[in-house]
Amino acid sequence: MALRLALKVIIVALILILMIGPLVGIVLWSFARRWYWPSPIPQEFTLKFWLEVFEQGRVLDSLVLSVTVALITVAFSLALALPAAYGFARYKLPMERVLLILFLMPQAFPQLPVFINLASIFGRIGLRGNMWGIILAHTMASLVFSLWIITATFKSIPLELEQAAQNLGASRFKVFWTITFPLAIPGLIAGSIFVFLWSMGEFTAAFFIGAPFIQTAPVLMYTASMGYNMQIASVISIILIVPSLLFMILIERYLKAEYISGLGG
Amino acid sequence: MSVAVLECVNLKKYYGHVRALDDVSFTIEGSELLAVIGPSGSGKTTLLRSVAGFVRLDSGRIYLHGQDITDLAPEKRDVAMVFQNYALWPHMTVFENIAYGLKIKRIDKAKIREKVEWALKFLGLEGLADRKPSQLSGGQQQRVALARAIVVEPKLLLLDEPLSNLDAKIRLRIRFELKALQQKLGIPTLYVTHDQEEALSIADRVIIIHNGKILQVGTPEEIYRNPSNLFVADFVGVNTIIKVPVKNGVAKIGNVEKRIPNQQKIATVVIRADEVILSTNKNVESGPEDLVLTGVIRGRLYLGSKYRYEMEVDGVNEPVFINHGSDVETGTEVKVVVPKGSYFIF
Repeated sequence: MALRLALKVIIVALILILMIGPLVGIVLWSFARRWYWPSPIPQEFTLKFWLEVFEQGRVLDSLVLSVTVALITVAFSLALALPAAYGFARYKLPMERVLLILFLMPQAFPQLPVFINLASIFGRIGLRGNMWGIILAHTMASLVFSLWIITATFKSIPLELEQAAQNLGASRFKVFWTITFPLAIPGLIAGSIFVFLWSMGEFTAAFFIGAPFIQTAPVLMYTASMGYNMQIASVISIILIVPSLLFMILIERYLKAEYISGLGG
Repeated sequence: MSVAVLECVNLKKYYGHVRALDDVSFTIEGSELLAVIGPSGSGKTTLLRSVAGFVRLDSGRIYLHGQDITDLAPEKRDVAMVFQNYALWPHMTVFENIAYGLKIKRIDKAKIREKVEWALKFLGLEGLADRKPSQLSGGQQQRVALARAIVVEPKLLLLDEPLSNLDAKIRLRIRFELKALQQKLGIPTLYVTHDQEEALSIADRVIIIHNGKILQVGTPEEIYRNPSNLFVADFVGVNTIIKVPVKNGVAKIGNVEKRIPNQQKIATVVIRADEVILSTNKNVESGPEDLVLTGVIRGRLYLGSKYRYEMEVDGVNEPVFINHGSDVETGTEVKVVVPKGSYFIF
C-alpha cells in the first residue's frame, strides 16, 4: 500500500514538474533583473520588463494580430474541413487514406523549407507582409488537425441516427443540420482548440511571410530573445498564454460542458 | 379488388456472390402484421431496408398503395421504421425525438404538442417528455422509438428486431403490448425477427426466408402445423430430429412408413418434443395416424415444469430426445405416442 502510494505521489510530482516546471521558469525570468547559475531563483527581482513591454505599443499590436489571425484561421479551417470530413466519413472515397495523409504533408516536412518556399510564392502574388498571407499559410497547415478530428467525429456518429431522420422525411441537408452537426459539436470544439492554439504559437510561417512588416506575438518574442533579452521574451510568452486560456474558458462556458466530456466517448 | 398496402415483386439483391434477396415477392394487405423470420444472414434485414429505401435493389419493384416507390428516396416514402437499436437522437429530449417527424412536415406547434402528448400517453411514457434517451431504460427507449414512428401516421410501419435488445422478461410483456398497439392503430406492419416464437405469437402472417429465398408463407398456425420442408419445421419448433435410412423409396420409423419420392438415401423425422405422450403402459391408446415408438429411457434432465428424456428407440440408431411432465425412472421400458401433426417426415 505504502509503496503504491509513494509511487503515485512520485508520478504525479513528475507530471507536475514536467508540465508546470517550464512555466515557473518563465514567470521567474519575467521578473528577474539578475539570474546567474546555479541559483534556483533570480538574485534580483524587477518589474522593469513588464512595464517596458506595456509602454511599447507593439507588443499589444502583435497580440491583437495573433488573435485575429488565429480566429480567422479557425473559421477557414472549419469551413473547409466540415464538408471534406463529412465526405471522408460517409462515402467510400478511392484512396481515402492516401488523401487523408496528403493533408498531413505541410506538417510532415521540416517547417523551414516548406514555409520559405511558400513565402517566395506568396511574394510573387503580393501576399507577403500581409495578414491574409499568414492566415492562408496557417489554414493550409492546420487543416490536418481539424480534418482528422472532425472526420473521426463524423465516423463515430452511427449512420442509423441519420437514416432515422431521413426515414421520417428529412432531406439530406436537414439531416445534416439537425442531427449530424449538433452531434459533431464536441469534435468541432476539439478541432478549433487545436487549430487556435497551433496558430497562436506558430512561428516559421508567420516570420517568413509576415516579417518584417507585420509581427505576430511569437515572431516578436523571437526578435526579443535574439537580442538576448530573456526577460522581454518571457513577458511576451506569458501574455501569449492569456488569449489561449480565454479561448478555452469561453468554449467551456458557452458550449455545454457535456459536449466536452463527450469527447472521451 | 383492393390494392395491396405493400407489394414486392421479384426483389433481387446480391452482395458479390451472396444472395441477400433472391427473387422475393409478397404482399401486405389491409392492416395486417406480417413477420419475416429467418436466421441471421438470411436476407430479412436487407428486405426491410430495401422497403425503407436504404438498400438499392439489383432488380424488382416495390409498390406502396399501388405507387411504385422503388426509385424513391427514403425521405419521400412515407414508411416509418423502428431500428433495432432504436437510433434515438441523444442530443434531443424524448419530446423532441417524437416531434421530429411532425416538425419536418411543418405541422403547427400546437398540433405537434397535441400529437406528441397523445403518443406519449398511448405508449405509457407520460412524465418522460423532458428526459434524454440516455436517461431511459431499454424498454422505455424502445417505446420512444415506436412513438416517433407512429406519430407521423405512416402508411407502413417497419420493425427491425424491435425486441432483441430487451431482456427476456420485458420482451415477453412488450410482445403482447406491441401486438395490441398494432391492432388498435391498424397500421400495416412489416416485422423482421430471428425469433420464431416471437413471430408466430404476434404475426397475422409469417414469411420464412433463408439464403434470400422465401421458403414458406402462411398464418402462424399453417406454418406450425404444416411446415413445407425440413428447414421450416426445424426453425419453427423445439424439435427432435431423427435420421432414418430410406429403403426402396420408403422411410420407416416405428409404425409409420412414408414414401420418399426423390432419390434421397436418408429421410429426416422431425418430432415436436413437447407434444408427445409418454407412457409406461404398453396398451396406451393411439390413433391410426399417430407415430408410436417403443424403447427404454436412458437418461433424464429435470427442466422445472417437465423432464427431458433421452430414449433408446427400437430400430433407431441414435438417441431420441423428448420432453414430458411425468416422472419416469431411467431404465424403464416406455411407449411414446406422437400425435398426427406433431411429427413430419421429409
